[in-house]
Formats: sequence, structure tokens, C-alpha cells
Amino acid sequence: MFSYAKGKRKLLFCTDSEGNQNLHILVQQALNENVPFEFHILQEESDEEIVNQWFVKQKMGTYLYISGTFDFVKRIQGVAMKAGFSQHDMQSQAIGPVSKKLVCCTCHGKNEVSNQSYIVCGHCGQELEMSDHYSSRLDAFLGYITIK
Amino acid sequence: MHKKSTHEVRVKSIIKETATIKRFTLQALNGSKLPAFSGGSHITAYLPKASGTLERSYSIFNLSEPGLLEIAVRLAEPSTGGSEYWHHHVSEGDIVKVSYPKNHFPLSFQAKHHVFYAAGIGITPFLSMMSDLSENNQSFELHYAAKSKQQCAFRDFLNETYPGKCHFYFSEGENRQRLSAELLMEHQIGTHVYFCGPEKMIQEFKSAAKSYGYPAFNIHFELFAPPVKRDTVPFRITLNQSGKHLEVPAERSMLDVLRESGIDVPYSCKVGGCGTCEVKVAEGEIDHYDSFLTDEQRRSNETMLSCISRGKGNVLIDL
Repeated sequence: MFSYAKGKRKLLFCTDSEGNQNLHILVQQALNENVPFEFHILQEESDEEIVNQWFVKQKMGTYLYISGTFDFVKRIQGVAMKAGFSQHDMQSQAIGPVSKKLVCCTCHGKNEVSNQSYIVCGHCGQELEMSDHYSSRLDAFLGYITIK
Repeated sequence: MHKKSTHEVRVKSIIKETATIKRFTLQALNGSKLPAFSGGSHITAYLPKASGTLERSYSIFNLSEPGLLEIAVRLAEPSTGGSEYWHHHVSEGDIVKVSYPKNHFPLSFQAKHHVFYAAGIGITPFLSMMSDLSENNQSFELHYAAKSKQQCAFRDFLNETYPGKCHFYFSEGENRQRLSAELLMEHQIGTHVYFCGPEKMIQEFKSAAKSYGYPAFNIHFELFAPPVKRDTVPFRITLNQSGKHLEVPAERSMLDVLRESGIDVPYSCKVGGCGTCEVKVAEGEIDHYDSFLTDEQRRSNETMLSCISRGKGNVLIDL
């Protein structure tokens, strides 16, 4: 769930047609607290350069919320990071199925997972537990050996 | 392999940068190269005084030839001993004992743009940081406040080496201009800011950045001295493992008392900035004076930095 980022000078809301419902409470709070914000509903295949132009002109103290399908969130996150946003300047929430990568701690092979907590590594057969240890370099989570 | 934590260096040259700031260039005794260091690093110098050895940390840089280390020392008024020693008791050719370089003030490697805010002698860590960034073609700018042009160390060097990137603010003389924390409002997303100068300036810039919504992640600072001590009072500590009681007098730190009683607590900066001397607290109230722990860690009342923070009454320590 999203949480309201207090003390920011400006909020950006970026959503696709699926995700905008999730932002209403935050928008209401921004209105109540008189915090300036921009709300953009983008098309699934929106032009990345336009989004980039929007992000790069932002100043420090701006906070970004991204809501939408997993692919949309992933794509907008990528543009935001390139523009200078870090994980400390944004929150995102994906609607519907997600697809994450899990790196096997034994063979380092990458596996695609959705919401499972356990999988069998498709490369070496090791049973793996999903961790919350995320590598931004690999864009993947670390899969630990399952201890039974 | 065990490596000695200190080594001796020779003072190769002394340059008077301003009326109160001297630059000391240090070289290895055998002519070899001194250890390499990253931007923002410092060394601790061990200065023999009649009252005992003083430990003082100085940011290091190198504006001359490779393999040398340089520090700049401003004669403090009043001096607590370190700057007086460098200015009045050190000559070219003298040998000084120093630590290996350490870095408690590193550059962010996620920043899109770095902005340095320096006041007075606070310029020194930025000399090495700007050199690193320039070498890697990374984006940066400097805002540097001094009393006057004459008292602004390295001004010509900075203007010549980093043209267009350095902004100066002089509080005395004609065209007075104050370095204002409002500049922080103008930085683009992805900027990391670095502050170095007197405690008051750092506090002002830190709180301004937070009030504009900067994440703590993007704010970096280095204190030269520990925060100005509030009225310190003695307190007692009890060591959990041995049940031993120790008194910490008003004028001593808990770190000193622990080490004197034979407990080898590691330490480094001694100004509450690095976290090396952290000890776990089992019971008791703490007055935190450090700039290292997060607000959440402070509130937990489970940990403290023994070099600077103080207890109230009796504190039970997990040692």
C-alpha cells in the first residue's frame, strides 16, 4: 500500500488507466495539506521522452508515486531513475500480476517468478525461497536455499 | 596480515594560504609514495604535547605531485591545541605521526549532480572530492563562503582548475553576499548535497534541506569538531558482563573511561560521526550528541556512541 510522504515540497502522481484509483486518498491528503502536485494519467505505450522531460525538470524535494500494471510501473520507474529519482524519492504499486526475477544463490541463474514464495530453480533444481534482498544492478531478488 | 595503524611522514613544505591558514605537504620518509585515498578522506595526526598526545583529524587532498598528502590547518582562536601546534611548532623537515587515510565522508555514487557547500576551512574535504569527480567527468558545483577574498583559501586554484563551477560568497568588504541555504531549493532531482563548516552552518543547511523535502539519503556533511557540548554532567555506567561500575566525569567521555579500564572499544572519529565506538545499552537514559545514528535508533534507547553521547544517572551497558 502507498503511504503519504510528509514534508515534500511537491508530489507527482503518475498512473495508467488501471492505477489511478489507488492514488485518490493521497491526492486528497495533498489537497488538505496544500501541497502542490501534478497528476498525469498516461497511456500504456506513452512516449518515454515526454515522461522524461516531465521528470528531469523536477527539483529536489519532489516525490513521485507510480501506480499501474506491473509493466507500466517498471517502465516509468526506469525513466524516473534515469532522470535522477532514487528509491528515496518514490513509491510504486503494481496492479495485477507481477513478474520478478529471482537469482539462484547456488548457480546464479535467473528465474521468473510472480507471487510465489518458493520456487525450484529452473537451472540447477535447487529449491529457493524468495527474499526481499533486491539488487538494482541485476534487477533481481536473491533466492535463498530453503531450510526445512 | 597485521598492519600498523600509524606511520611517520615528513613535512616537505609549508605554504601560507591566508593569514590564518597554512598548507602542509607531507611525504614518506623513504621517498616512496604515500597511500592513495578517495575524495573526502582524512588522516588523524598524533601531536606530542607536554600534556599528552593530541589526536586531531584533517581532511587530505593533493594539489601537488602524486604520492604526497596535503592538509590545511586554520589557526583557531582560541586553539584547543591542534592548530596551535601545527602553526607554531611544526617546521619543514619535521616528522609527524599520522594514521592511514580513512573516509567517513565519501561521495555518493548514485548522484546525478554533486553540490558542495563550504564555509571557511570547510573547503578541505571538497578539494579531494572535486578532484575525483573532475577526473571521472562527473557533474558538480561549489558554493564557498569566507570572510573576504584574502581569507578565502585556494580561491585562485579553484577558479583556474574548475572554471564556472565555483561560486564565492564574502561576508566582509564590498559586494557582501551571504551564502544562503535557499540555494538548496534550486537543485534538480538527483542532486546530492555536501556541507562542511562550522556546526551552526551545517545545522542550518541540514534543516533547510529537510524542510524542502530532501531525503536524508541525499544529504552529507562533515563536522570538524563535535557539536558544542551542552552542560555535561557526570554519570555512572554498569557493565552487564562483569557487573563493574564506572564513573564518567563531566569532562571525560565514556569512550575514554572504558578504554582506561581496559575495555578495548574501537573508535575512529571521536566526534560522533562514524559509529565505530557504538555500544549497546541494556537500560538507562541517553543524551545523544552524535550525528550518526538515525532518529529511530536514538528513540530505541538501545545504542549510543560512546565517544560523544552521555547517560543520565546510571546506564547499563552490554559489555
